[in-house]
Amino acid sequence: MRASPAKACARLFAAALGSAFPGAAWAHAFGERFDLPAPLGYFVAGAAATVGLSFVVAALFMRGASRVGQSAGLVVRLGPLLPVMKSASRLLAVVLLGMVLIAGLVGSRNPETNLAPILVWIIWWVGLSFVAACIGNIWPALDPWRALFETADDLARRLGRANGISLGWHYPRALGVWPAVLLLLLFVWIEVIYPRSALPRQLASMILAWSSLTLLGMICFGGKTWRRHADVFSLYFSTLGRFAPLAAGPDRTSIVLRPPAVGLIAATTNTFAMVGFVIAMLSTVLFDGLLGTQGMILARQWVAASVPGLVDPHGFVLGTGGLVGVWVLFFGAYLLACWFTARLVQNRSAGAVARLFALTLVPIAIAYNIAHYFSYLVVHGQLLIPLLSDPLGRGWDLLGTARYYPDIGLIDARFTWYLAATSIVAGHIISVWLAHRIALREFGAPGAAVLASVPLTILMVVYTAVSLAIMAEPLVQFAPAGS
Amino acid sequence: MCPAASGDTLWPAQNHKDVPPLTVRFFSYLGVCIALIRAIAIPCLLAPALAFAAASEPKRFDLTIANAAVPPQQRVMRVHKDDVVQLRVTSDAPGEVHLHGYRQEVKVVPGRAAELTFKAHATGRYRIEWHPTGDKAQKSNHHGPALATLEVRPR
Repeated sequence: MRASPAKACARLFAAALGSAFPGAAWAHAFGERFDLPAPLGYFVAGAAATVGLSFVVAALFMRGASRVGQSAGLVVRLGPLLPVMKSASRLLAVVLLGMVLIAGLVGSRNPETNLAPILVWIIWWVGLSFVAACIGNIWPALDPWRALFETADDLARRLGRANGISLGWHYPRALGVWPAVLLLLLFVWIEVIYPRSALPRQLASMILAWSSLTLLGMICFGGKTWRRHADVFSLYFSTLGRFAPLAAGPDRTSIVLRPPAVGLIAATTNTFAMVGFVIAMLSTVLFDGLLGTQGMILARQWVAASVPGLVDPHGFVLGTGGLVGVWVLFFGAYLLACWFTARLVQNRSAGAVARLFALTLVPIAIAYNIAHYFSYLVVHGQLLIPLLSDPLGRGWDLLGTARYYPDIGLIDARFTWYLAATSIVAGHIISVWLAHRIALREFGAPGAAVLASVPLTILMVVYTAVSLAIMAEPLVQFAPAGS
Repeated sequence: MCPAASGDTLWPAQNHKDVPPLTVRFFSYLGVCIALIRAIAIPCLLAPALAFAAASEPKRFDLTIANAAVPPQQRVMRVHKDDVVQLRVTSDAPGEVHLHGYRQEVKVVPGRAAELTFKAHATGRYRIEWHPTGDKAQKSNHHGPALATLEVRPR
């Protein structure tokens, strides 16, 4: 009998997929449907477009598309409507927080029929990220903790306390946004590694813990300082919101309409910790994608065979190592590219270059998000529909939708692949474009700017190729069973 | 190094009046990007789509459960969208086989084959799980190992 290498490989995969590892869980809590890996054609097409279009952008800048003027955007006045909407959405946010806690603590124990996990992990964490990135950052108006703090703060001021309820402690400058970086890594660890993240009781306890922490933080350091440095969610959504076409206006009654992504090239000084934060936004989504691949299962098997001590039933050691490892790897690659750029332009340090270009990676992070989570949001997000009729699991049927079950065929695999490849390539191109714009602003002449952004462009091509590869992990033919 | 000085460039930057606004350029580049992907990806996609005729015969698979597991060659079932799938399940212990997502389930008792027939109307990967009688605990949101996986590919 002659066994081809492909068949042998297939058997290995099949064995790995089977029962070799009790902890070989798929990423994400809701195990109903998983995306198929895209065929190789998407990878080839996406990679080719990535490399080709990078040259097109560079060539356009070489030809002197050099008008770097900041477009201010269009100010849209909404009059008193906007403050009213803001107050209403704050009230809604506090009510929702209350409902999530009640549902989590006393509702159904099944994550798929409980409001808390669906609202938190799918609608809020995934859905709101898309809204913040593609429409505008509405989190400030929907942040229940901010609403609670500011209401109490206002009340205290009216009662005669000049500083409100804030203690006005001095926030250690040296910490920067590092607390938010750590919290983002921790949060994603809970999302993809911690096996009980979607269980209603555990989730409610975690929300209570975060509520205490963030309210205490705002009381100690003041609302604004806390939100800008340690409140991972405020920082996460506001960073995504810089890409969005809608932004807060100059006063309370207006919003600004602007071309997408221009908010990322505004001349702000990023701290080095902010670089770490943006890299974490990128690396964590990529890591989540990596977890579901068969390559990861093989890697796990290999580690188990060579260093058995590293394997625990939940995959905590490997999962944590992988999560931090991917972040460190991405960070290192970015710093290396910045070091090369610093060598090319000579008058800047690598650290300064890293801070300068940090936000240009945001479109890539958004693209990873869309590629990775869109079908998840569309299919699993439908779990909210029955819950709208029965939010607390009391057997109600307020809207007549209590018996709805998600339509798993709502979007086709082919549509998902097409959307994923397109968004990854488009995100890449926007990032390359932003890097060129910033280089042109900072380094002057088009030629010098294009040269300076070469290392970053190469890095972005690598990031993009990696994410395409994860999306389109090569299909291996399993031995057909039956028929 | 910089050819922009000559007048025959795509958009002569020296004359700011001739440069289309940033937004217009931005979206035209996006358009180019999407068009290129289409041009490359679509031929890759059409080939497999043409290779399949309409499904007629049901796709039959066996699941021979012993010690809560099936033989390795039964662990992945590949079908295409809209195929009719027929599972024939036998087991050495009583329990239920669940196909997640499709919400199909079938009870099995030792010594008698159970059948499950359905149309694979939605693409994706779905877990087929074994729930032995009397095992109801749901201790974490990560499921245990799947008995097998159903892969439904687009046509």
